Amino acid sequence: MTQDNTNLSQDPEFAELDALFARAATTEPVLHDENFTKIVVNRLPINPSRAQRKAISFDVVGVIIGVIAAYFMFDFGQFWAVIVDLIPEYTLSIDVSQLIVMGAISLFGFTGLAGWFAMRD
Amino acid sequence: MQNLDDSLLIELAVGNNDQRAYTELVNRHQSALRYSMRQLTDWNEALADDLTQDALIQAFKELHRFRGQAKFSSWLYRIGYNTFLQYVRKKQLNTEPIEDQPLQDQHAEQAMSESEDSALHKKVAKLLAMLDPERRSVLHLFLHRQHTQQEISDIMGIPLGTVKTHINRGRQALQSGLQGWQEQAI
Repeated sequence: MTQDNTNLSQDPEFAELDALFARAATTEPVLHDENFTKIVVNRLPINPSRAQRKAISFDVVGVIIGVIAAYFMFDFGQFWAVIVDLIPEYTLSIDVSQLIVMGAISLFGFTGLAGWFAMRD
Repeated sequence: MQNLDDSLLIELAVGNNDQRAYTELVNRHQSALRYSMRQLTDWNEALADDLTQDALIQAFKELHRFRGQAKFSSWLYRIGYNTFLQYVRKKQLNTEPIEDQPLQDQHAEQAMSESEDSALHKKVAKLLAMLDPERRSVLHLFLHRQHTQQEISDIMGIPLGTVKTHINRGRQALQSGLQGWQEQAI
């Protein structure tokens, strides 16, 4: 048992307060009412939309597959060459290891985002 | 239905959209939640019941998200507490100062016709009403429901340190309020 499970009776400073709450706890009324249940049941939606989580999961899977496919199919070398050509009077060199690092960062970013979407309540 | 445990009823309610299963869950858990809501709303019975109904309907909509890691009653309490918070934010119904009149005088007429127990529960609710909503809920879970600090942290989704602070300061505030009432009553 964790230490935070404070034993209420061990703290004399609050003995009176704790006793008051303890008495309330032991005499808690049973608030059961059929009419109350009926009101709740009558207000329940007939078809609650519960497919959202599943739909998000499919979206997430699609995004991950898309990112992976793009990573392997896309010619980053040519892409950067075109970008570099667009910049006048500047030359930019980038090697394969840098491309891999950037690709990995992008992948982790997308996966993290997708994971967050999947896990959020 | 009455013989089935909560997890099975939840499965039926979610998988088969079985409202009878959820009705049984409402029957089982309404009392505790209604009582907790009364404690959070300074024993405003009508408001507490409205909030409980909203919470139970919200819980039905969100039932597929319940993963069974916590007790259903704890999960339900969290939805109830969030419903209460939304109400407080909307209505700006926040803390109440400690009133000058002793509790016994304020409710003298009511007390005549009420049982001793009923007066006790209202007194506890009145005490809790001195605290801000989050602290009120923490103290209710700690002193009345007797949850551990870690459990309260999990139920309310707030850090353990915050729970400890609420308990330390909340108990002192409640004790002072209680003593103040008693001194005025003498």
